[in-house]
Parts: sequence; C-alpha cells; structure tokens
Amino acid sequence: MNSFLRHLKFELSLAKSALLKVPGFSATVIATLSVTLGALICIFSLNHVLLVKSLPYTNAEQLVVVQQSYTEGGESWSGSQSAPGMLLWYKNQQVFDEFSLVFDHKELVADHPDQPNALINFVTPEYFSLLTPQMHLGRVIKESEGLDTHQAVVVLSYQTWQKWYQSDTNIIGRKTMIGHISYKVIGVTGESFMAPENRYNEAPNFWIPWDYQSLDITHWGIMTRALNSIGKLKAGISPRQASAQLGAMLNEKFIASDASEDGDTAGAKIVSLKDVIVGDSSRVALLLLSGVIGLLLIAVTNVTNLFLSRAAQKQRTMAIQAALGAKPNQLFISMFAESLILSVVAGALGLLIAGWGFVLLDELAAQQLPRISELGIDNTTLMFTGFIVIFLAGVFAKLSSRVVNYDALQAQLQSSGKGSGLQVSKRVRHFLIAMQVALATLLLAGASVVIEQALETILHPLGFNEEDVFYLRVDRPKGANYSQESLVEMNLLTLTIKSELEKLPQVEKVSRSIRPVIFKGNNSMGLNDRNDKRVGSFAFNMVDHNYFDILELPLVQGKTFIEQKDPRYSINEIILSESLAQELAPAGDAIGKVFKIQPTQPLKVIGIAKDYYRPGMNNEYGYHRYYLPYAAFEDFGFDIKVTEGAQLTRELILPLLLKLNSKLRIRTVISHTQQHADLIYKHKLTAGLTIVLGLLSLLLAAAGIYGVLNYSTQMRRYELGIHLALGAKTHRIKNMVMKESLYPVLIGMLCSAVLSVIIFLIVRQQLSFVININIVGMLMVVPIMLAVAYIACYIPIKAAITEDPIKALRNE
Amino acid sequence: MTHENVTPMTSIKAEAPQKVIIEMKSLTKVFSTESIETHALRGVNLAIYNQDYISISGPSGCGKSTLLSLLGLLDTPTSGQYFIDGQDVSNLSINDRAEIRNQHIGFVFQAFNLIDELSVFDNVALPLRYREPAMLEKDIKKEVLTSLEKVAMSHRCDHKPNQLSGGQQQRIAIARGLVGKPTILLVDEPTGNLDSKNGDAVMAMLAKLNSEGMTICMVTHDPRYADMAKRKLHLLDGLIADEYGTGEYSVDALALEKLSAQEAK
Ligand SMILES: Nc1ncnc2c1ncn2[C@@H]1O[C@H](COP(=O)(O)OP(=O)(O)O)[C@@H](O)[C@H]1O
Ligand SMILES: [Mg+2]
Repeated sequence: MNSFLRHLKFELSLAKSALLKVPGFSATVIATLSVTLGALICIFSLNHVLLVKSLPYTNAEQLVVVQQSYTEGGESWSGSQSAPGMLLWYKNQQVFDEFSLVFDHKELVADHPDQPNALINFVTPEYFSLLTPQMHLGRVIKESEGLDTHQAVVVLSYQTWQKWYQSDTNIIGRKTMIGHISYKVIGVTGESFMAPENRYNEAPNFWIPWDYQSLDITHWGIMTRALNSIGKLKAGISPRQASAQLGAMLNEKFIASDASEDGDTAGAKIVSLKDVIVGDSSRVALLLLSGVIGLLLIAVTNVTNLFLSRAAQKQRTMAIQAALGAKPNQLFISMFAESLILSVVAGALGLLIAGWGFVLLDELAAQQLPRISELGIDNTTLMFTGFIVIFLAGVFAKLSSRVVNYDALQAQLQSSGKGSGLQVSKRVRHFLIAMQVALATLLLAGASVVIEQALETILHPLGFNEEDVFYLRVDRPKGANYSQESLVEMNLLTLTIKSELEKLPQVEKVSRSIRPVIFKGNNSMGLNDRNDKRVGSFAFNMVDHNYFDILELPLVQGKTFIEQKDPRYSINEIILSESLAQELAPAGDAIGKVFKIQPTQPLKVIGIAKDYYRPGMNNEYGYHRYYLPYAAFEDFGFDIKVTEGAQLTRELILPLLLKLNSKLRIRTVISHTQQHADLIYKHKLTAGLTIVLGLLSLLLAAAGIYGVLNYSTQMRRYELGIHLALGAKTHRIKNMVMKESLYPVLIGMLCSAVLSVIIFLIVRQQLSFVININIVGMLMVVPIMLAVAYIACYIPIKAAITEDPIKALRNE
Repeated sequence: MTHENVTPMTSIKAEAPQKVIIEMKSLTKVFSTESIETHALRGVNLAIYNQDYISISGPSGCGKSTLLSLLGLLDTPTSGQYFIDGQDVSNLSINDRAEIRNQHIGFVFQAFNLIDELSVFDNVALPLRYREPAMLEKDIKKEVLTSLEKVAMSHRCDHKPNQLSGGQQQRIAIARGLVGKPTILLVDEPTGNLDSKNGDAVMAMLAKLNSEGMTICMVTHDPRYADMAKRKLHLLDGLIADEYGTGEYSVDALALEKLSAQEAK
C-alpha cells in the first residue's frame, strides 16, 4: 500500500506537468465534467433531501399527521379537515403521546410600515414539544397558554425577527399587532430551526396560540386543507390502529351532524409528516434526476472519447513504459493520475456550481418545491461528490489504459502513428456515437414533452379579459360575525366601498367578488339538486351583476344577476359555466332548473357563462364552475376595471377605506395580468430550464460525435490521402466516409425510439394523471438531431479531404 | 569521450563465462491476418551465454526484429520454448512478463524511444520506478547517476530528450537499458538513426560495456558493426542460416544439441 501511494504520488506529479502541456484537452474535460457534475450534485442533493433525509427534528421519523377522509354521495377525498373534527380528536384522542393542532392562516402585520402579509401558525403548545426548536431569544408557547386560555402571545421565526423587527434584541415583552390583535412577543426561534412548511412551501413567520384562529369551530361541513396536525404515536400503537380509533370517533359525530346525509361516512388517515411536506414533489425531483443522469451519461461518453484520443496520443509513451517492464496496473495508475487530477478539479468546480445552483433553486423554486432551504453542501454531498469523482477517474483510466496491446508492443513501438498502430476499434467508435445519439435523442424527446406541457399552460388563452383589471382584497373588519345583522352591515360596507372606488378618476367599473378570477389553488363548494341530492362539488364565486361585463366573459344563454342596491337581499339565483351546465343538464335545458346549497335556499339557473381557463388546472373538470350573487360572508373582494394603462396601488386606496372604517385593511391589490404571470411562472421556469437542459445535451452530443469522428478521421488520414493521391474524387470519399459515420447515428436514433416507447409504457403505469404526448413535437427532435449529427460528421471529413493528399501521406 | 568513472559490473563478471543465460528452442512466430499467414520465424534454436556479444544480420524482412522482440518478451511466440536463467518464460502472464522485462532485459531501440515529457533523469529512472516493491528514491538516484556516468551523460540530468543530439539520446537510451542491471541488453539497429561519427561512438560504447561483462544481443544492417560482435548470426527467411564466431568462444551445433539433451532430462 505504501509503495502504491509512493508510486501514485510520483505519477501525480508527472500527470500534472503532462496535463499542463495539453491545455485544450484538460480544459475541455474539466468544463464538460464540472458543468455536468454541478447539475448532478445539485439534483442529487435535492433528491436526497426530498426522498431520503429525515426532517430536521428529533424524533423526525415518528412524527405523523392525521387527516380526515370523507365519503359523500359515493365520492371520497381526504386532506381537508373540519375544525370541530380536529378539536374532537385533540380533546379525546388516546393514541398519541402528544398531539398538536396547526392552522395556517395569513394576516397583515399591522404595526409594520409596509403591512406585510405574514403566515401564521395557530398552534397548541404540543407543537413545540414535538418539534423542539432551539430558541434564539425567549421561550416557546407554554402548557399554560393552551386551549381556551386566551393568552395573546406570539413567537417569531428568526428570519421574521431579522426582516421585520430589525433583529431587535429587546423585543421580548414588546407588543406587535398582527391582524386586528396585539400580541406580546415571548420568543424568537433559533436561526437553524426549519419549521414545517405549508402546502405552498411557505415557512411560518409567527406562532400564536390556537385560541386566536378564525375558523368556524361549530360547522362540520366546512373543511379546509389549512387545518392540520402533528402527532407522535404512543409506543405500541400502529398507524392502522390509530386511524381506526380516530376514524370511528370522527365518524360517530360526523354522521350525527347536519353536514352529513344518509350514506356519508368519515374516517382518519395517518400520514408521516415527511410525506405530507414532500407530497408529490418527489416525482419532480426524480424526473430531474433522470434528466441529469442522461446528461451525465452523454458527458461521460464525451470524456471517454477524449480520454481515448489522449490514450492514443500517449500510446507510444505507454508502450515504451510497458517495454521497460511497467505492468498493466502501473499503466493504469499512470492514466488514473491524469484522470484523477482532472475529475478532482471538475468535482471542486462542480461543487461551486452546485452551491450556486442551490441559491438559484432557492430563488426560483422555493415556492414550487418543499425543503429547499435545507439544501446545501453537507457531508452527504461531499461524500457523493468524492465517490463520483473517484469512480469516474477510475472508469476513464481503465478504458484508456486498455489501449496498450501487450501482445504486440514491438509493433506499437515501431509505428510512428502513420495510421497503423493503435486505433480505438471501429466497434467502440460506433458504440460511442450511437450511445451519444440515443441519449441525446431520448433527452430531447423527454424535454419536448415537458416543454410542450409547459407551453400548453403558458400560451393557453384565458377566455376572459385580464387587461386593466385589478383585484382588491380587503380584510373583514374585526368584530364582524356571521349573524344576519352583521352580514347586512358588511354587505352595506362593501357596497359603500364599491361606490367610493367608482368615484376614483382611473376606475371605470367595480364588481364585488369573493375570489379573484384565477388564483393558486382552487376553492369548491358542494351543490345539490332540488331534492337535496348532492350533484357534486365545484369551483364557485359570488359576484355582482357587472362581473361578466368587466371580465368580458360572455353569457352564452340567459341573463346576469340583478344589480344589488339594498344590502338586505337574499340569494336565490345561480349562473353556471357552460361546461357545468352541459354536465348538469345535458339536454341543454339548464336555464330555469333549480339547485340548492342549503335545503332552505333554492337557486334558479338564470344564465350560462362561457368557460374560462385557469392556468394549472389539469383536467376539464376545471371548467366546472358556478356563480352566486355576492354576499359579504368572507373577506371583501373587488374586481376593478380601470382606464387604459392606469395603475391601482395600496397608497391610493387605503385612505379611502380608512375614511369609511378605521378597521379596514388591504390584503392585496394585484392586476389580473400579474396574477396570471404569477400562475404561469412555474411553467415558464420549467420550460426555460428544460430548454437549457435540451440545448446542453444537444451541444454535448454534437461535441461528442464531432470528437469521435474527428479522431477517427485523423486516424484514417493516411488511408484517405492514398485514395486521393490515386485520383479518387473528393465527393466519392465524402460519401463513403459519411455513410460509415451516419450508420451509428441511425442506430442510436433507433435505440432511442425503442427506449422511449419502453419508458413511455413504464411511466404511463406509474403516473396517476394522463400525459398528452404530442407525437409531432417528439418527431421534431428527429430532424434536429439528424442535422446536428450530420454537421458533426461532416466537419472532420471536410478538413481531411480538402487538404493536399501529400500532407496526409507525409503525416504533416 | 572519457571513461575514467566507469566501474565494471562485478556481478556479471564474476559468473562463469560459459553459462547459458538465454535459450530458445524451435521458436516460431506466425503473423496471421485475415487473408495471409506470414511465417516470420520458422524454428529458431539459439543459446546465449553469459557475457556474449551477438550480432544478428540479414536481409530486410528476414525476421530480425521479430526475433529481438521475442527475446525481449515484447511479443509471444507461436510455438517453441524460451528460457531465461533456466526459467521457462514462453507462456507467462502479462504481469510476469512485465516483471521479467523489468528485471532481466535492457532495451536500446533504433528510434531511441525516449519519453519527451520526462527529463533525462526520469527517463533513465523509469525501469526502476516499476520495480516492486518500490525502490527508495535515494537508491533510484544512485543507480541512475551510476548508469548515466557509464555513458558519460550525468551532466545532462535535467535536460529533456529533445534538447539533445541523436547520439546523446541514444546514449541516454543505453543508460536506461543498463540501469536495472539486466541479464541481457537487446539492441535494435542502434546506429540506424545516427550519422557515422555518432554511430561509431555508440558502437565503441557497446563494445566497452561488453568487455566489462554485459551480455549484448544486437540487430544491425551494417556489416562493419556486425563484425564487432563476438558471434555473428545470419538470419534468412525466418531461420538462423549460419554463425561465425569472432571471439574467444563460439557455439557449434553439437554443443547446442548437448545442451538441449541436458535440459530435456
Ligand atoms: N505485426 C506484424 N503483422 C504481420 N506481419 C508482420 C508483423 N511484423 C512483422 N511481420 C512480417 O514478418 C516478417 C519479419 O519481419 P521483421 O522481423 O520486421 O523483419 P526485419 O526486421 O528483419 O526486417 C516480415 O515478412 C514482416 O512483413
Ligand atoms: Mg526490422
């Protein structure tokens, strides 16, 4: 071993000076490998964090979430929880050692000059004993601040404390206004504490005792995904037992409640906290990994070829070494020294690139992927990089030290490179080219599918007018409740706000609406027929009569709602989207039909509105939608049509609102175009990254094919020179060589076709949703690949046949 | 050229002059390509004695280089047997053959075959670097300098081969051949790439090395240089046609047969 290391040390010093003499070779290898390794390390870490790594909490593996599952009218779903159900479990469960409620909610930080929108976790004290965060300052929420104690305290996250509270070290005991309530700051979590993110991959800014949540805790029929839990099962209780017990407990109360009908059931599902957080992002991560591995294979093929040419260059030297008694493994070490230096440098650069990639991922995809903040260069990353670097160095060295033919050293020593001597065999060359082509074609085909899907979303017309329309969302004033008087009062307030807004010079028309026309996520509500039989759950909105006018969303049949002037109106009309009307009344007789949301409230269909597209919806059910007349049940919303090019800002609107009611706060003001851009951002990102990946693989493949053919043409120069000297016409030689070169290209494309069919069949079984494969888009890859391959084949040949044959014969 | 510093290789000199160190029996080599078989050697019998100086000559294509590369284990014979120091080396693994080349064979090529990237010192040191177990750096240094002194090139240690004349390069190549204290030095057309002045110098050096006890086997075209050897083999069409002794001892067919009979027992 000692003598091995001594020998390696000697060879490393030789290799260093040898590599400095071939800067072109060294630079190409390092560039190709470092970019690919950078991408690989980055995506490897992502997969490691998402698929393998435990959550950063003690007992991480034991933490679970219990979800409610329902079967109503034959349809089942899970993941949305009702507050009474969760409280029932919290108070009565006997399966968890500890069990915490967590409710995600957004509120404005009212005493901050910018009034930023903050994510709050309303939690019970067990949250902290389960996750055991380090504290930077102060303490966590205590037992004595649990359910029904009404202690107005708040814990800040470290990042929030830095960003919004200027890292104030005297903050403990100070008060801060969040929403409409003033809370006393009791703690700041440690910098390293990474709280579980919500379903939009956002980390909470504040933790506030459960009592201050704004859920309807009496209604069994109102369910939300924002309501969750964290628990640790008692020793000896299996998830199956736990879900059976909790499910039975829930079912009993649910069936007895007025939210259920005959045949409806409720149950419980235990899911690991990790699975809840990671969700289906692991699929994205694996997809990225397979892309990067494809890229790596192309790069490795390229570098292998470079090393083979390098070995051909060094072949004479190696033959001399062998003649002097060097054994195969000693020659291997000599090649290994070179490949090790190159791959170590590439690995180091790759780590740099990966580090930069983490920052980029955090910038670009923190909203799209969970746990991005945990990415970084850690021991696992370093070990992985070290392993890959040594493995690749070994592969390259093994392949290239094999070029020495120990059975004919004499022949190698005597040949002076005139086309005899060593060549990488034709079989190997053809294999390399076919492999490049197959991999690149496969990657491009995959890329074309991804890009196609992304473009589909990006370019899909919305079907309504987004220009010069803003959406304003105003927080419902504190103190408003859900009583009839309160509702009338709030209706009146919204009507007043509406008319105040209309007075602004840049405002043309205003419609109230409880939701933006498009937003991230979906919001649906059940609909029953006139006999109170559930017909389904559909996206819905509550709007004014001029809503369709403002959005230029035409009514294809019937009419719109009547204008509401008196706040004491009752709701008895409904408008359906075209698709929903088609679904509910296939005969085309929807107008006049009656549906219900509550048994006491029949709704008559008065109109049918054209469908519109919501970016991100992945099936035609996304078009199913209904509209009710506006009522101020929730926060206030307004669609505002402005004069051409005009802007609406917080500063412009806030004074106007405060004049009406000092408790009003603006949640968001956003143009529909901006909203649209936000929604398609992820798809643009995907398309952009995929295009980069595709171009990179095309470029690598082209360089690889060029490399292989350039080398083999160089090796054949002497032979080609003789052909030319004997009077062969250049085009004949060109055709001869091109035919030979393009042969493996075609084989490669054939392989990729077979492989894509296989992969398609496998993937189709794995995925729950349907991918629409556009064959035309995929076939586009063929001419692109052919053109690139043709050029890569042609350039080296052209160089060889346009020179004077004597040069080739003299081996100049 | 000065030779004051040259020390005789006592280890070789001490051995009995008539000891057989290399022996080939009915050695053949056939090169087969798709269409034709070339019989480069058709049954060569050859014994080389300690401190021999053999020259091999013959027309182009008669098999000189093939014979030399078989002697140097650069190639494998098609049939027949080959002994070095009594050990059968005709069917060894790649590693064992490398070991034997490293321990027993010194090469001097027509085209020098020095490695341009390495200094003179490292070129000469190369065979020692492949020794297993690895030699200490200070021992390597001692051996290399001794060897370079023998060819009067020790002052050029740090030069690169391409900074030297052809004659100097060939002397470096000889130093490399000697450095591992081989059993035999194999020399293929050592003067082929040199002018006559440098060629004469190299030949003088070989003669001197032999007089100091080194066993040498040399392929050459030049009859003048062939005559400098103690034994002259003439190769014709893959067979040793005849042999002229010029030194104190020569080998006859009888002696060879006797030896073979001895070995067979
Ligand atoms: N690698 C080889 N493949 C095929 N034939 C060979 C090879 N090397 C040598 N020969 C043939 O073997 C014969 C002897 O060659 P060689 O030993 O090089 O002759 P010399 O060195 O005496 O000129 C020649 O006919 C030559 O063509
Ligand atoms: Mg020859």
